[in-house]
Amino acid sequence: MIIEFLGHLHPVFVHLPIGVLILAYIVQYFFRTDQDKSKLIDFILIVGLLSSILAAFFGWMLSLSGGYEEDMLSLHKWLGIFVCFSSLILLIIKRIPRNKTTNIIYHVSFQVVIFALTAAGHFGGELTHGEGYLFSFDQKDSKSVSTNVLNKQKINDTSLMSVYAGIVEPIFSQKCMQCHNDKKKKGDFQMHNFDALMKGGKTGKALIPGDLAHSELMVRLMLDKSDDKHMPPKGKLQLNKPEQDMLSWWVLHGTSQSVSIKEVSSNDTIKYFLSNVEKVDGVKKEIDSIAPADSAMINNLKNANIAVEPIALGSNFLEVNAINTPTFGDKDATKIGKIAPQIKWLMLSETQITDATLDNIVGCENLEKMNLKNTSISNASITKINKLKKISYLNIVGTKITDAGLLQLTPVQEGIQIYCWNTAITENGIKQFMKKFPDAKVYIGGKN
Amino acid sequence: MEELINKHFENKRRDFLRGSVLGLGGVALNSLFGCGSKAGDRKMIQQVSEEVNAPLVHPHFAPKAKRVIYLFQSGGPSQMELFDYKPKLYEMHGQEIPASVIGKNRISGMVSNQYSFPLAMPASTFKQYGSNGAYFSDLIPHTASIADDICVVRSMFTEQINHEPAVIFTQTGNQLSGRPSIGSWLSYGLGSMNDNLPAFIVMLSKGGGDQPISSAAWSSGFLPSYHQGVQFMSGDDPVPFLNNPSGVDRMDRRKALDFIKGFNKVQNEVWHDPEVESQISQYEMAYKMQMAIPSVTDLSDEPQHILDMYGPDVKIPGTFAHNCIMARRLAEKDVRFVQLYHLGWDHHGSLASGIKRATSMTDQASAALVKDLKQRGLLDDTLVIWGGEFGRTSFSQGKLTPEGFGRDHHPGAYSMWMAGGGTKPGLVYGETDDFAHNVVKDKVHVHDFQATMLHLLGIDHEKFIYKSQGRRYRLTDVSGNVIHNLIA
Repeated sequence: MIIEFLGHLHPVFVHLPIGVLILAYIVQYFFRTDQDKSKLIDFILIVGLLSSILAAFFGWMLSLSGGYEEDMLSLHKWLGIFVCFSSLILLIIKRIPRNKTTNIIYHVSFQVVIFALTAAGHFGGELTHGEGYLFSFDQKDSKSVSTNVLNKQKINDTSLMSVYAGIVEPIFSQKCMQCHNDKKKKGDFQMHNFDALMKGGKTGKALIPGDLAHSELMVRLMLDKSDDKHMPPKGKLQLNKPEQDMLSWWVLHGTSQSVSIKEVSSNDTIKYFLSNVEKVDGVKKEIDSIAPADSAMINNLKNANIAVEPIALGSNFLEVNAINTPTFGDKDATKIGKIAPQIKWLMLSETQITDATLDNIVGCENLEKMNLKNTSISNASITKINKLKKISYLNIVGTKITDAGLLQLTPVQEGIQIYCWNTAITENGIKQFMKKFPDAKVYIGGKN
Repeated sequence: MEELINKHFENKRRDFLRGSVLGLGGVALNSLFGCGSKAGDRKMIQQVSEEVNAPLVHPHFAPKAKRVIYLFQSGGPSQMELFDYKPKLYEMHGQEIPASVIGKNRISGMVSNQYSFPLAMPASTFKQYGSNGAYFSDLIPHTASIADDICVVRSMFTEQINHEPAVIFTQTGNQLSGRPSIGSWLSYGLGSMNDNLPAFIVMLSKGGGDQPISSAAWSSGFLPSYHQGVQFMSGDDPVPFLNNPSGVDRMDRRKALDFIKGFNKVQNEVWHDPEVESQISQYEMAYKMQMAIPSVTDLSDEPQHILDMYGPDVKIPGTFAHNCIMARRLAEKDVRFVQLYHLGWDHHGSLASGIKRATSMTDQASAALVKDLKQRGLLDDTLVIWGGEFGRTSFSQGKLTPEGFGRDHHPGAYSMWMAGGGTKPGLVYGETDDFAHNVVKDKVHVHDFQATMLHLLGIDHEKFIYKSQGRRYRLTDVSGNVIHNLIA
């Protein structure tokens, strides 16, 4: 306990000797002519010496808690101790009477101290942040140690890659391997490959296939964030819920190294995880690939009491809704044409529009939802609706569209929802339509 | 009066001081750096002030649901009689509930002096429905018929064991009244889509039961008071005094309101009281509602087959069925949040007959609402929620007799369902133990449910914050996880 605490003081004190000894160096060589500085340098060197001894002591305590790669640790340790001794010697040389020889020895020793200090500091940094930290500029990789480059391959449900390699390992690599890798093994636990992972650490096996409650790793993930044993530790990047669910699934289903993503892709947990790979960390804003619509045109519509709003904060895609304007007609629809590419949702239900309106809507290349409920739209509009390639929700409830119109419809989006209650469309018509588009969802509702 | 005037000047003084401190600070900083910063930079320094509460206006991300209809079943519907099929209870009828099941859970004062806790067989039978074979009881055949459209959560749990705090907890995220309810949060955050109707409308059904429900459940808390739920009355006139008195025409009304508004504005300049602004906006809303409400409440344009869907009560104003069809009509008008309350689920005794009565009043209309929304294409972006404030115990409260037995409040496990608005249809989520007493899989806390609901509405619950009296508040307070598995 006390050893751990003292160890944790190492990062606090380690920067003192670095700063102080370099200050001594600066004073020594920056003010070359000033003779009064000698006493000052003495003082700074003493402070530097004492702080380097403290830092080395705390560092030794820290090394006892383990988890570091031995080779680099011993290099860092001995360099640190060397800094202590060499600065002591430097101080002694400085105090003995000067002649030409001692003078040379003094200056050489000073260079040696500073060099050793730099080297010790460098290797300390490598120990904490991973090997090659100084020259790795890709944020993610530098965090997760050179041996485990994040799997950047695009994964989907047809991947032949194993669940372990394609999903589980990248999660570990991103969130755990900074401290549990082939170099650094906190708690004697390494996660950089499957065997090490299954071997476990100080507290025993980390994963017991099929048993979440006794898998130490899972228990630690699920513990409350405020718990001391929770992993990843406070302040580190945490696993999000889909990642936790994913790992739970993998452990429950036997921690297999070989089962492929394709084999299990029908599972809900996997499906959810895959469909959200790119937005698992919070919900990322939709990246708009479209320029903002002309604000004058938007205001033009707004002045006519038509709601034109971004679908989300910061999005350039728009929802147009005429709920407050039952008088909305073909003439108003011409205004829509001006902002057509940006419109994603278009709600024109219960308005006065006719087939002529659709001429202004054909330009809505990004339109996903269109509600034409209870308008006098007829089969004549179908060819124009067919030009809207992205449409996935089409509401033609209470319109004049008939079976003939439905059969002309050629939706591009699989699983398009079509609502056609209260029209002349019949069950029979839907059956024929479904033959062509089996994935479409056509809702006719109850009795008309 | 004196005090208010002082307060007003105090405000002005504070404004002045704040302005000058920041202003002088800016100048001082400027000279400190020794070189003239650009005018724009100085302005930036002066603008640094306390963060201001600002509504979102637009959701954080593209929403799946734009409206919510919350069918609140107040009193605590018994999960064992409705959604959570427990064959063990039929087998062990009359036996004591194992002590290990109750564990350290609290039981209420109403049963804590009972010597015996005999398990009670559900007063209903179960069958499988839908393509997933989910179990529903014979008490709710209509709900069972929409099994493929709804998402049943059997693993809800709450922190409160008594009605008032539990209702307030579910509706506001905190057990004490005083925080804004869900509808108020949405009215504040996203605003109204329909200019002529409030964003948050509340309807209570009558004839349910004796447990009262307090209006704190639809209060706006610390949000401006025009975000509180507008309650429709459960009589013939849901909104009273809609018609102008004889001899007063609409133009007169307009002029009178403008005149009053003028006064209010003068007062507002003196008092700076947000309540004055609320008053102005509520007068305006009332004026618009005069026009908009009759077309909402008049059911004469509903064809008979639609009315029949909702059941025989639908034409009686104030019944749950009537409120359900009203909720659908309001959803068609893009009203953001419609909150229904049905009382009468608190069956401490005579559960068998009580729950039969409650389900006969609610089952058909709830299912009809979902079907009706679906055929109109509204279910796609309307979230329907059906559930109460907690569940009930699997052991009997009082003597275990076939007719007389009852069940006590139980916060540890209960069921609810959701439909539409981006939820996963046909899903049964979560599991309880053999006695429906503890959740054993996929726990859903009330805050998790609220976080998930906000997520469907495009809101990140952790970023939807209002600061009041020095503290930042969220609907989910400091907890809540979005349950992604419930989302399609």
